[in-house]
Amino acid sequence: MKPSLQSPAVKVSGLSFTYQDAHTPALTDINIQIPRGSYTLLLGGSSSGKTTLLWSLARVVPEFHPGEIAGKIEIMGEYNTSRSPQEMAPYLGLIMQDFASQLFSSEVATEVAFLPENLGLPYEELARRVAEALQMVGLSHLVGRDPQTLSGGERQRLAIASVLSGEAPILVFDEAKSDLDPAGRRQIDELCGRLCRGGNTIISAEVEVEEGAEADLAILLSEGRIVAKGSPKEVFARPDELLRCGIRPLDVTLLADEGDAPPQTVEEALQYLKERDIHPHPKAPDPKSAKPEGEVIASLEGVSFTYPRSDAGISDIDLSVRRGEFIALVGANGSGKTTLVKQLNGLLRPRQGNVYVGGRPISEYDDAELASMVGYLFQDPDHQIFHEQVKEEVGFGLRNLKLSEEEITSRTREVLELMELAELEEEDPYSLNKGQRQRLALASVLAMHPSLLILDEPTTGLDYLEVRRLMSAVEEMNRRGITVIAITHAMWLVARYTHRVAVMSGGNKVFDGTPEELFADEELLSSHMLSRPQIVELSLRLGRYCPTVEEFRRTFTWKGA
Amino acid sequence: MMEERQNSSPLHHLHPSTKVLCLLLFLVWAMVFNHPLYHLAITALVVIINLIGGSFRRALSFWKFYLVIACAAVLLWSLFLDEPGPAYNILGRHIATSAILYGIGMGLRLISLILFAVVFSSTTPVEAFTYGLRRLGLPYRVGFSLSLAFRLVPSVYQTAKMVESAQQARGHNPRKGGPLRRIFGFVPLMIPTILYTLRSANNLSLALECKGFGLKRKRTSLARYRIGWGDILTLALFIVGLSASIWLRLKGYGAVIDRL
Repeated sequence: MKPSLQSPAVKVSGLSFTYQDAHTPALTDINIQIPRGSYTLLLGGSSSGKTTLLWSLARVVPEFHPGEIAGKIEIMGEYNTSRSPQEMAPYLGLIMQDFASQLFSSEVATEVAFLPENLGLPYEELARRVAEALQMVGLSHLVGRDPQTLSGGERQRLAIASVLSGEAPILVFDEAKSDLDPAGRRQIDELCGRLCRGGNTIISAEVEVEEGAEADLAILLSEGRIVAKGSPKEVFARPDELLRCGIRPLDVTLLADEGDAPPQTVEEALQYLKERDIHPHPKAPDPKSAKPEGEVIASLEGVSFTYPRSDAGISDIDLSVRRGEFIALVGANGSGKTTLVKQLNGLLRPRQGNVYVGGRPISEYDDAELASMVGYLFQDPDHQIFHEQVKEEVGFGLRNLKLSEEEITSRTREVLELMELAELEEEDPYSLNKGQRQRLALASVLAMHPSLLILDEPTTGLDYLEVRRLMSAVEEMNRRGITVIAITHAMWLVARYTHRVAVMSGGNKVFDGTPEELFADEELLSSHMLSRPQIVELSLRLGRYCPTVEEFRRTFTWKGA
Repeated sequence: MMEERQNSSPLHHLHPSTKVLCLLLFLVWAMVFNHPLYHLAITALVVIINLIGGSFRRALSFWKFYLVIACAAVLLWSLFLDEPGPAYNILGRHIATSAILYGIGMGLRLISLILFAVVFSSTTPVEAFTYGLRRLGLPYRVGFSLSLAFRLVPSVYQTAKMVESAQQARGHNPRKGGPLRRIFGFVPLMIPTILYTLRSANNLSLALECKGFGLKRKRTSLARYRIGWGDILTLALFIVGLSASIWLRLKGYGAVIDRL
């Protein structure tokens, strides 16, 4: 998509913003120009200022969230300073990360009609816009449905349609893909491509670089400042800078020598390495990770479950979990992953089949006993946090186990140190950032010393540094013998951390094996919209399996490596 | 486009203003009598309306709630309404027959109101409710806020269920122990639910602003409603029914205790 010669869609000059009651600015001296009809990728970790920048374009700051603002913003050639967020709606559509709270109507059609209705458009125009917006996101067949009955991916597409119907020339996505499975992400990417080709300007805030190569412009933010700006190729070629900003760089960029332009695709990496005479290291270790062969600590035998008044659920699932295993559960939204793991801690009871934990049917345990054996970390830590102090929050589960105060203090200290939260033990949990709150939630579960730990999409919404910190703690607990089952869409997590992976589809378990076996099965991957991490793809093309860049460096040698 | 709704019944097709007016008329109607037999007739009428509206199964799913209401009403009015006339002596307490009948009547009144609320909410989307209120003269913002409050009830319930699961996973069971322990046991559920709901409400109001809520004084609507014969007939039935009931009551019928 080539920028047009007209005035830019967005021009930001010397923008700074400090939230009311904040001590440090959220944005400092931002200068950008975004051409009309272009696709801009806004990268940055947590608290980098991405959302504040997008909000300033839509006048959410300072109108909705007050603060001190300086600098100028031009939207489609006009300053936005005298406008309210409502008045910005015809010019700029904002799609937020929390799509569930953007939907409030009882029907798909009325949800999409809400924005143009507010613009006072006549009926014929409303009907046209609703029909077109729904067609663009592929939801025309669900026009009369209640949004609450749609799947996660469908609701996200509906949230997008409800903004598309405003026909604003600029569309802003604030980490709008973070809750979606790979198929859902791909659909949104394709939609963004179509919108761009149709003349819309797209600005998309992301914490991942893997899907941003198609963008025209990439902007890297850190602590409210722009640290890099240019084409995605230019910005992605700075892996160290990306890492410092909390963004996971492309795997293959980490293979280049200092001073070399790093490869960015698997093809480029193959050429780069072949030119440097790559070959397996003579003393390369067997890359296959040792699979734990401990005793079975939990199992599902022929388990089926369906939700009341719904077809969703799981069907005839067998699964044995051995001590010390790290298992990933992958699959599309609504494939039954969460339903499956909730059988293991009694949050759901099977309609058919048996569930055993520690050799006994789970019906023989009471809530506290089961909670001490099977820890469960929910996706959103705010579903469980309620105490006024970090250490009290950790102690909550332990008090339910009726442990002595001495034991509670000792375990609390132990897990807070492991989670790097010891210095914050007196703090109010709600003053912590999302990554710290997620680690606190994990600490409160780990303090109960479960033998099986279940993580339900624990890394959603976290930046790469926070993900590594969280997963390092989980990896350490796994090394100490705790069995882990993690639901995730991030295939690099599957490759890096797990011994075993199960793929769910339509409530059935369609694969159960090692990550190496999964990544070798191209047909299975493509039929379930799963993809190989770059480094896995590259190593397989070179005849070996390497789940991480470190493993790749141990397995292969090349000139300059 | 709006015709492609699921679960369409004759009541779904009534004009929203008709449904809001019927709701208001029914609120008065339910207050006219206090005799259980007359209330039984009104309850039967609402059951029929539920059958026509296709919400009977949903209404029936609250049967435990109706039972609690009925028992509580009979117990409370029997114990606290001191009426002359025939009475029973239960555990040394004078309990008037008229008080028992009045209690049954009040229980049926509450049940019929809930049944009407069920059929109304099942056949009236929030947008139609807002539209109906607006057509009856209520400002759009007020009507929208009111209907949104109804819409958010299931969402708060979903959050509360999620919070309960998260605390149960840490060994918490608020339904265990004595009454005081149970009351305090709900604190770990209430605080996250309230905070989460507040956060969602904040996000929702932000989304509304960004979608131009309140931008134009004259807002248009995708939904098109027309007053039809069904509306006229329904309103006529309600007005005639209510008028007849008031006439009967003024003539001294339909009351166990005349002064109430």
